[in-house]
Amino acid sequence: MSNLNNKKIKICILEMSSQNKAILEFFFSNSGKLLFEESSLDKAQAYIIDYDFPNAKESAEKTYSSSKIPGIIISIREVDLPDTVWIPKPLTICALSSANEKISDIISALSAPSEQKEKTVEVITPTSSVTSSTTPPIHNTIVEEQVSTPVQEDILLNSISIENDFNNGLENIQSPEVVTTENIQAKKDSVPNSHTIETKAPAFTGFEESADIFDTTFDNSQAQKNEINIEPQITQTIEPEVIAPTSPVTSPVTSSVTSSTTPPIHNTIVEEQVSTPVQEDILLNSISIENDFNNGLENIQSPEVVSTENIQAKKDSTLNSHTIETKAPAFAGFEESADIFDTTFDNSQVQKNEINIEPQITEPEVIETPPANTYDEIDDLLNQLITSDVESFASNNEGINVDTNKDIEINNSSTFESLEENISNNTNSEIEPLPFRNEVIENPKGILDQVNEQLSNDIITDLNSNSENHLGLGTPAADALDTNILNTEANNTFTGSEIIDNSFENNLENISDNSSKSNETTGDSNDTSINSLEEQLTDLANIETSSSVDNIDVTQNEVITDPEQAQYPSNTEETEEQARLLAEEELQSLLEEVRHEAEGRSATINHSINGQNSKSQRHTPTFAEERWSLTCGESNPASNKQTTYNPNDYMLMTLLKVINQSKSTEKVMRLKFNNIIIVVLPDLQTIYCDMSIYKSSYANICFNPISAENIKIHYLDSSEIRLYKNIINKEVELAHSFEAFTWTTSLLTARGRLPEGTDIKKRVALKYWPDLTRIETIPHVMQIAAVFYKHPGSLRDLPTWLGIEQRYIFSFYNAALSLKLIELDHKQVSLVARKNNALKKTQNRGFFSRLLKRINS
Amino acid sequence: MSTETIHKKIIFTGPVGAGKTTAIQSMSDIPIISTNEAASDMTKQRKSNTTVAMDYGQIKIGNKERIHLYGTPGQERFDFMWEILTKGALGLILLLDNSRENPQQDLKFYTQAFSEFISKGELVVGITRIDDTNKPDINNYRNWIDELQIRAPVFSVDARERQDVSSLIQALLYTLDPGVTA
Repeated sequence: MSNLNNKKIKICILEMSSQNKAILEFFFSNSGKLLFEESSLDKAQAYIIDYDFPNAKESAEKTYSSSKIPGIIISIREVDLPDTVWIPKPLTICALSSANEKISDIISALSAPSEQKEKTVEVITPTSSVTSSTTPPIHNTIVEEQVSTPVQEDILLNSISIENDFNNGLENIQSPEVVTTENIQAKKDSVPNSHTIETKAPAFTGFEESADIFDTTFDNSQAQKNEINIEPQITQTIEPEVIAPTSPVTSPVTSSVTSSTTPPIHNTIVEEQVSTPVQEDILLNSISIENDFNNGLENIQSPEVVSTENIQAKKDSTLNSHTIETKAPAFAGFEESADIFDTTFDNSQVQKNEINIEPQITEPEVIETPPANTYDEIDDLLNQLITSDVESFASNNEGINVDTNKDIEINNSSTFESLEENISNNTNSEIEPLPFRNEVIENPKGILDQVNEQLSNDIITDLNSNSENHLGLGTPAADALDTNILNTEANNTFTGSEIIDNSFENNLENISDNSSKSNETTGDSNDTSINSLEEQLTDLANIETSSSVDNIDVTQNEVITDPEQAQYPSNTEETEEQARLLAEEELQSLLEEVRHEAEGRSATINHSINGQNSKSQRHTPTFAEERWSLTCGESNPASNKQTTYNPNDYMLMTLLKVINQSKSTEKVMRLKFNNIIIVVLPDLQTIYCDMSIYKSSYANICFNPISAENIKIHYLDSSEIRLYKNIINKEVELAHSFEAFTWTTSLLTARGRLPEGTDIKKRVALKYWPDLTRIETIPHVMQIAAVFYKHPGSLRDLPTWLGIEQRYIFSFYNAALSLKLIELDHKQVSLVARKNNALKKTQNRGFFSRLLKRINS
Repeated sequence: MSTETIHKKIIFTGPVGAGKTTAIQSMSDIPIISTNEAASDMTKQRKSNTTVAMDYGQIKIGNKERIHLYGTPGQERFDFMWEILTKGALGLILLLDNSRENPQQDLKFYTQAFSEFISKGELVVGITRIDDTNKPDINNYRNWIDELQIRAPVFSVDARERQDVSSLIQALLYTLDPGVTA
């Protein structure tokens, strides 16, 4: 922090990167304003330079040799130059504060000779005869060259032209031409009537302060041009006005310009004697000089506007407009890199970057509020959504009616499997848009209330009962029916399986809820259940054709769409407003759900670690949760009746054997089981499966034990290979990498169970990470992989260590084992365990946690 | 709770054209700062522009915390930047282009070049263009890393996909502290 004992130093910023310059300017105008004041080079007590900047070395040397002022050098490497203080990058406030102290010492050490020099100057100052109160002050004018007499005379002769010269003064300033004594003589000779530049001097000397100000606003090259021009002009003009003929510099000049209107010239420094007697001539031309001065003052006025205060104001405004305040800290810790980056850039490139940075920093900070028309857009969008849903709903209903009736008529005595399949085909397509279903769960009462308001009294009763049934708000009888049906299904179709297919359960649940009759059906026998189901389906068809309101209950989706349908006939403002509000909620919910599902990660939010569900209402799983129940088992450990399985009883083991054989023989192999075909193509490292591995039917195939006799395996000939390769090209979604296919099949097979004989007390290490970007994700997969990889632990301990459900760890273990990613060498496991200490909380855990949330959002 | 601004940095490195700039672009909350120049050497065969000093992006976490993402220049002649950039970094993400002539050699070169950092810090390897070229496959990389006696997660990535790059960073963070929770 700033040291109050430090002295304020006038400092000039020389070559500097944009970033560091911004930092410095910010520092000088804020916390560092007691230590430093930015100044032009000629007034500066010290300079500061980025030594790594292109041409900085030359600039530093030049500055030191010309100005003899100490400097602060910023560089990544130590720089040892006389009268300099080195600040290592990155640039910090502490370093600048400390540099202030050091540079003050150096200035003090150097001050003796400079003070002496100033004294000499002070002697000269009173000699200036141009002391009129109206004369503009001229500071620190340095006369460096002798001027010969003939030149002075010519100047006087041409004094009439002064006024014109003054008017053109500013333009001439820009000229890079250096006006020396010889040049003037040459000019005089060649163009006798031309206006010599020397007489413009008073105006220019008055400009000096302004020129300095210009320096701060112009680029360096422009400033240098001005500097070159000004000096010789001053040299030529001051001498005839100030210096007495043949007198030493220190003698007072009494016959100089003494007009009351002549502006005073202060602190004029004359380092060398001028011997030319020109005072009288000057006096003769005093009137014209006066005019020159007045005109010059006018010219001065424009740059004068940019005063010291103005510069400060400009700097402040510039800082604000460029949001350097926010940019500076962002780079503060990384200037080292940023500065190196600067060294390789030209200025324009840096400026481009700077421009880029501004919006980058400010934009994310802005909390966006929706524009006024957002709601209208949402409304439009929702209307489209609703319209399309209503249309699709209508068409779906038709499909259901026809198909369902057909199934029942044709397959009255068919197996439950076919019934399931038909139902699934009809209902799954409508269940797919899960967001609607979730909306129902999230705010069931709210929707009901709105629906009740919209509908007539007749409808309300029916709707209420149906919706409540649908929403799972209390239908024990329906639940009992589900259980019966599912038991029947499990017994008939998947012998030996104790786990119920969730998706199928949901489908049946939907259907069962559609009829009030289902509430009364509580029979225990399987036949009764099937019969009642058939009745429900028939009733469903009847209900759908007779009442549009009851369509709400056909699928969960319609709970959302139906209230809208009910609102449309009313055509009142109130209903429109309600529809709009409802639409907003739905849209938000829809977007939220889509986002969550896309990421496939958010579903665990509602799950507590202990598997407890705090909600009193029955929780309907999201799509992701349903999937995870298939890949990792149920969240409630009690429902996972089997904790182990024998891999040899499942398709997985056969598949692994086929993959290994195909790889080793480099031949394409096909595995056929029931209706599923799996083709292993080692050259493409691809597995083709004609069934989507994300369907519940594939999950069932994986999860249920099979008889090896039912599996047919054979090598494919070239024509078959071509055929399958063509299919793969067309159906890319059915082609998978070996790793992705094995991983998913393994998850679906184990479903949170462990292979028989697994010792859960034994430490487990991960040999390689799975290719997590190309395989199906499960909750906490990254965390589990990291722990197994770095801190081997037992399957029993890991859930406690990480505070996550064991089903996820078991599932990961299974899948990684199938991919041969588990380290089986116990020595290696011990080695890794020894190398990496036990799991400890790191310093950055909180930060990492926030970062993970941020990049997952 | 500390009110100081927290700055951390993650380095992306790898050969020319591996997708470092794109990866940073995928994750950065700000438009990235790139030092791209027209390629003049062998690089020209792979892409028209190449990074000469570094790429810079940023992930913002609230108002006080920042993750700075730095991409190193790919060419070896800019290797002087590498050590400077890795100083104080959280970890290193090495991107390897599977379509290059000898990705194993690339892996060797970059793991050796950053050996000092890898010995102390964490490394995550991302293989780009593996979806286009399935040889070598990810198992080859795992074995090569084993041979180099390095332990690091290896993922197939598409540098244009935010989720893929995010996975690399997540793996890095979990490797640094497996106990961290999102």
